Amino acid sequence: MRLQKKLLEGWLAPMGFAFIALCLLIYCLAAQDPETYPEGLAFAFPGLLAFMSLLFLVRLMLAKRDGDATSAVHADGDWRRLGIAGLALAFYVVAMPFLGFVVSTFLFQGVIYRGVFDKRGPIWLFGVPGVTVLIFSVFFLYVLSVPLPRGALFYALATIGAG
Amino acid sequence: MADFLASVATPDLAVLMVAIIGGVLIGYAIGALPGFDITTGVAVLLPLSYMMEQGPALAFFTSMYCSGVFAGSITAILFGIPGTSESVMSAVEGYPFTKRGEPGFALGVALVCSGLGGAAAALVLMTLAPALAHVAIGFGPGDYAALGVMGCAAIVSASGGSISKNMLALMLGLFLSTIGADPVTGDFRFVVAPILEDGVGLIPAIIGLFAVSDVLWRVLVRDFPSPDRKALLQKWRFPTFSDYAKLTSTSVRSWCVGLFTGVLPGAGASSAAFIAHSVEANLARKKGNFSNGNANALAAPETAKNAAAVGALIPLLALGIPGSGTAAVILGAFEIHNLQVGPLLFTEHPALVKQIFISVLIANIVFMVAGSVLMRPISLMTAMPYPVIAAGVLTLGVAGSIATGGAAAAGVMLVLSLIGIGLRLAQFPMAPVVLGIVLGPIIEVYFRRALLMADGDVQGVFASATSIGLLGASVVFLSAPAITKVIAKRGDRGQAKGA
Repeated sequence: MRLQKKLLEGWLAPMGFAFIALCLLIYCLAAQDPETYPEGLAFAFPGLLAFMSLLFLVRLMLAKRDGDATSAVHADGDWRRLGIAGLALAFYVVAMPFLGFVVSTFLFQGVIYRGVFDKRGPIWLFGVPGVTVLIFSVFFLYVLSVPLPRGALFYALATIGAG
Repeated sequence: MADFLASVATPDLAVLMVAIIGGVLIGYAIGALPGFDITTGVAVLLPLSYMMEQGPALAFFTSMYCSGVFAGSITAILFGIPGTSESVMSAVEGYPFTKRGEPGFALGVALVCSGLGGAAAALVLMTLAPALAHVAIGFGPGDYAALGVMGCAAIVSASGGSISKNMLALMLGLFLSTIGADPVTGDFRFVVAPILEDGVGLIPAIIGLFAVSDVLWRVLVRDFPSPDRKALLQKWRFPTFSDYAKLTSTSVRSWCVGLFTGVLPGAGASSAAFIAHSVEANLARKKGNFSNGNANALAAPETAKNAAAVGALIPLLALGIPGSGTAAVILGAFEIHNLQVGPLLFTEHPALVKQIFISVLIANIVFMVAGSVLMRPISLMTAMPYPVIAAGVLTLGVAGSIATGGAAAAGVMLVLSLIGIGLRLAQFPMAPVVLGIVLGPIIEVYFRRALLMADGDVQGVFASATSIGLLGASVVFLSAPAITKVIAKRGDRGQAKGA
């Protein structure tokens, strides 16, 4: 374990650069040969970088075992609220094309205030999100002139209504 | 100089001034808000570039950067809460002034030292960046690849902490840069989902890694800044001219440290502030009196951080290598306007380069003037509750990503924000990841181009004196932390023997 730690701490930087050099060499040699490029060796550079990223994961696991601040955060962190915030963000990204910027932002802000920051009452659930939506809509549409999604769902409903 | 000013003094100067003043004020507001980093601020406001011409857009963001780096000191001094990572030492040295009823004195020292440090560095930027670009214009592809490697080595060395962690963070960034179409053949690599067809864009990456993951991290560790606002009600007395005169030697030394640190890729203003403070602490004869509310101890990090912030623009503009995380974010503004930073920027867009130079200089003067008038009203902005800031950052992050690259960019941003949480959890630095994304294509494309030119001879790629020098500098950068450790250990042993 000690040797492993020594290797990681002392040799990883030069090893990393040796890896980059090796990856570049293999990758570029592959690029010279039409038969091996783009298959096989062509992916050597990113492939070996991926391997190094795996080392990053190993190091992350080792850090957790060290009993340092990371473990404290892991144990005491508010994972429930982080989960709520993450899910709300995922919902926001997925829902925006369907519900449009205005409705999805209003819902998203409400969930964040209530679920993540424990804010209650009509001001936090309706007032602040409403003002925020208004400010950001004006900012993006009229100041930046950047069209944000209006909502495929509403467009479909309007089309059905018109039909 | 007269020619330079004449070329800048066009009818566009009024627009430029509006952009500079706007950037300074917004930078103030963002830097002063507790829990809202200037890097985050620049990242989420990048879509503003779309509504501006190239010159005003870049003037706006560079001005915002200069004032934002200083403004972090406002909350640091008033409440002991660093508004930005650059202001940690300002909190340590500035907050004791507030506790003994002298917040105005500390804010005055911080304002003038930061402003003069930044303005003097802007003059160096005007001289050094064109000279560096002139040298770099003779670089071949192999030299550029070596320069990219040196940038990687510098960021790994300068990020502090564990070298292995910095190295792996860089690896991750380099790996992310390979996702998408191959820059030479156009073949797709690692496109495991349709959202990755355009690769990992710099702007969604920056928003995800810096802005959104910062808010999520604060949610995880329940770190919601809530300053005690008693300091806002105190009577403020600003320093006199003689007070400033006593800080001259400290400021000059710290300015040199800050500028040098800022020019190194990846080191940034945070490192500069720490280094300048420790240099002054070591030089101080009476160490006991140096900290705990000493004006010299506050002047050192303040001067250094703004000198470093401007210094970071030198490698960005001249070589295309960002000197700090925020400089990498500003690179996004150049990307939005399809501008390639580096030596060609000086030959293809000379007027634009002059505008950037003059903007940086004016911004540092404007924020000093604005600060002396608006310091108290700006400080009142710190009353904004953190939940409003957090919800605003998340909304702007998603909407800004969609505005720059559609739903795919928002998806990439979301994934990277989760990666950012993982990195923070394992205490990995964020800047090497972003610099890896920036430097990956530079190293890969130029190396392959050099190899083709050398007919596949690897030795021929790095045959020039420039390449050898840059690779030698990379070795020096990588060895520096180990050498410093050995020297420090020997020093400790010597002290122990002496005792």
